[in-house]
Amino acid sequence: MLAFLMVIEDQQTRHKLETIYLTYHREMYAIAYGILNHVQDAQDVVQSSIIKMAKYIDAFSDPHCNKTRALFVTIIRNTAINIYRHKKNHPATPIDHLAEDFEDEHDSVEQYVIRIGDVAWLKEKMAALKVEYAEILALKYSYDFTDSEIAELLSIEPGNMRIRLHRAKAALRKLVGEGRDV
Amino acid sequence: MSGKHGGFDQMLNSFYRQIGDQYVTDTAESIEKMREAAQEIEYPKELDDWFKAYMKQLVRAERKQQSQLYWKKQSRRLALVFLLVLLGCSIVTFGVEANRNKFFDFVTEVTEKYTTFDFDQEEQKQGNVIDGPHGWSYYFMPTYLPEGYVLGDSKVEGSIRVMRFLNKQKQALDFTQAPIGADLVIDTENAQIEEVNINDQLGSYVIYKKKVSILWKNESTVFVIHGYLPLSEMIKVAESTQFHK
Repeated sequence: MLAFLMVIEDQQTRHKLETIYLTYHREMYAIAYGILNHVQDAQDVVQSSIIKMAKYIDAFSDPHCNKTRALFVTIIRNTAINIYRHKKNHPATPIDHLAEDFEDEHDSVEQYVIRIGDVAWLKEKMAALKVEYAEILALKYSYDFTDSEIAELLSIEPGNMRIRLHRAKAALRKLVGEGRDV
Repeated sequence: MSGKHGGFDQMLNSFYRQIGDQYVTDTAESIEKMREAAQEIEYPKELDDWFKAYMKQLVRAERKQQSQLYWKKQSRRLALVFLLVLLGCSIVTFGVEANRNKFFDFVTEVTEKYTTFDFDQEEQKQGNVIDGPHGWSYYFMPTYLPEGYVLGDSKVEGSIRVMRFLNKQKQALDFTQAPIGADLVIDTENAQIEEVNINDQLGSYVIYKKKVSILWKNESTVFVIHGYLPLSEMIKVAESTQFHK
């Protein structure tokens, strides 16, 4: 616990964490409870997520911005899912069929060029993309977290994190490929 | 990665970022949408209590960290002060040691001067001669004189030099010196004549009617002293003879 406490270095940072909690504590709890449907487990999720947020408090630039909201939701959701999986004895990430996920990323350049910047098209693809893939892409490319940081934030092993990221990219490519002929 | 693939990777990353950004926007919107529903959920008081306790822990940890930083800074300052004090002490010690040496030298010097001075005073009290006869040079004279004797007179006859020391009772103590070969005569009729050793040189003393005469020589000079003093005192005067320029 002390190690987590030590990451808060000053009053301003502590105030930021307090603001996030006071603003979103109900949403945090609601997300956790929505997944676990268990009061005590949901409380544990909120607590461990708060401690995790304290560790990465610098990533929360403004307590009220979209990035902060998305980040705490991601942390809460993944922490809750992790507990849920442990309780249900579910493997965190299936690692079978791993080889078939390794496809050539450089096989269809043109199909990406024409669509980048098309928000409507992105929204359409996002809707079809699994949340866990979208969030890992966000953590990697929007928040610029390192692989080990993403693994910790998502409560998964670093190896599984890399698999999930690869799958996210593959799934996205597949979705884009499907849309090429549309 | 370069060329076509390099540019493609950049484009892909940009694409992934757009997907990520879209996820951020969508998630933030979903939070806004669930706000009302979240307010209706019964929120456990234990979580608020836990958070308050956690914030207190953070404050304590922050204070502890500040305290540690403070003491670390203070320790550094103390160490610096200690180092400076140590350095100062060393300088002072060496300085004092040096000064002490100087002081001792000085004291020694002063003491020597004082000793000399004191000795001189003492010798003066005892009638000892400090300065030889006026105008004399390259001569011998006793550095010890019995109490009360001072230089009263002096004379030079050819190569023979005579100093007369007198006390208050005007008793004379004559000190004669002459180059080896000079004729010096001592009346020894009915006198007691004995050998005496003066500064490792064989000499003779003659006692005649309470008058004591000692005769001895060194490499260049013959000495004779006459006086009405005990033999021991006369020997002491003889032995104190030193050369003066």
